[in-house]
Amino acid sequence: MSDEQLAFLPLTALARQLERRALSPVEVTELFLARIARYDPALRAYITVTAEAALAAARAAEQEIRAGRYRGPLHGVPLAIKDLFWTAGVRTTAGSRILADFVPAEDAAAVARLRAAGAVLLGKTNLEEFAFGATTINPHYGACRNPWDRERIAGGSSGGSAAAVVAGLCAAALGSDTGGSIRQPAALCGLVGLKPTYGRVSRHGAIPLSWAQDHVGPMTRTVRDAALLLQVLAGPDDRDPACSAAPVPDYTATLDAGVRGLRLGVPSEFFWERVDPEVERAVRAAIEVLAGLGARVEPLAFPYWPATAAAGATILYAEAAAYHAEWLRTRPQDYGPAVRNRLRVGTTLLALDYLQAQRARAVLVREAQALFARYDALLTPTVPLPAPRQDADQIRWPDGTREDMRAATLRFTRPFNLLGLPAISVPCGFTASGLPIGLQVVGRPFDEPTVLRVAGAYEAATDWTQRRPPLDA
Amino acid sequence: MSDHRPPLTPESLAVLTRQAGLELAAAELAELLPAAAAAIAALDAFARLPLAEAEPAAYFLLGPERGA
Repeated sequence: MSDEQLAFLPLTALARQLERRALSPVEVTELFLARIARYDPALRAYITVTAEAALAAARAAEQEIRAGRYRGPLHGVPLAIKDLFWTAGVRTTAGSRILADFVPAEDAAAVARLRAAGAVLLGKTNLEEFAFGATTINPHYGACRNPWDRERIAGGSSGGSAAAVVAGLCAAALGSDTGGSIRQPAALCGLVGLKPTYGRVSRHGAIPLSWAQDHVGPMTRTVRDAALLLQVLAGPDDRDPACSAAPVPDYTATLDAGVRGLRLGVPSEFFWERVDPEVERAVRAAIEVLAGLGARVEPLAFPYWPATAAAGATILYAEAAAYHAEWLRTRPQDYGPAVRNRLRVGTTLLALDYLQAQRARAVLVREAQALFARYDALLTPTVPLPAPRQDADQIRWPDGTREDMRAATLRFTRPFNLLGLPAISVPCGFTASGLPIGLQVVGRPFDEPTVLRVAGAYEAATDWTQRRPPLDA
Repeated sequence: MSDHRPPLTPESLAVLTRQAGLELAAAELAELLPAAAAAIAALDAFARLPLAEAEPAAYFLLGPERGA
């Protein structure tokens, strides 16, 4: 197997090789570090590379595996961590100047779980400043580039994690998602991104953006890889008041069960308005594939999508402004201009606005739960358009309307943060110019198995995840 | 423009941001005004929901699955 093939192996396949000792964690880690040195200066997927610590962890994993103490499918696997998560002894910038020198004393809960499973951490990935944005054009650490076309955004806020996975600069990555920050870059970069149910994965040690809507999840090459990572990440944690004590099921148990007989709802409105025609064609074709596999695909009406998006945005602005209130007063010059302006917007909302948004959330969650009495999962496009150019501020739609580029790219993901529902983006095609497109699958609360099952069935019937970006072009 | 809040002006925006402890220059207020106005206009999208019997959804109590 060539180094190139090895760098793009699904985590699942890599784990098998490591367990059988056909590969060593050290050689795999060295391979990824060499690729980071070669490709990352152009991509800017990483903020901090922890080469020495990664090699030390790889050597330790190698010794343990050789001694017969294999910990499971993450043992010796090199991963990347969004630089929003505390890492003990390694700076955690949140993509900001304000935290440029912040070195946490402990790991975030998600990072600790990955380390305990034996993963090798390669470094910290680039993101939008404080995760408050959609492009990963970071004013302090550089603009992350989309590996499929470096003139285009990788998406955000977990853009560095997405670029690192799809460019073969790690085997998988950890991301966070408050309005689409795992799923949107996954769709724009052509990988799998899973936002689990609200409360499924602890946010302890994840620097907050919006407490009510922050989620932690995996970004991977395949759906099975996402299931494996979620298996390690999910579970109770008293340090996160939102973290659920619900039992953690086996996420791979029904992965190959197919979709025959499942009821899949396709929203009739909202998700098909102002959509790039190539995206709409690809997503509708993906829905046909699932119907062809035996799913019962039906149109559904839910008049609350715009309200859901608006209430989510109100809560996001207000909570972000609350978290940043002190720094906004004392260190405004240390923010990039775009994020500073977004945070200031939050200061103009009233307590009344925030509470009405939270009341709206209660109504909308109830309505969404009623919807799932009739459907096992929902299908939508993940993002209305392929990756925009780095310099695009506005999108001009075929109907003549204009839309802020950042808002447009999160329009279809944001509702599911407010509702707390599990949602995954899986690659479902490419535009004629070679840009990836994502299908979003949404499920009931804590029903990640069905979300993974639908996405897995689609993935198995297609070959979109096999393509690689033109890194040497 | 929101049905539930008066239109923002540079003056009313200055009052709101001052209450949050921010003293913004005129140029900063001008930069902030369009985005703040859009955020306030968005409030209408959920203000007409049947909120009368809804309590605020505490972020840690999403539904019956919590702690199940």
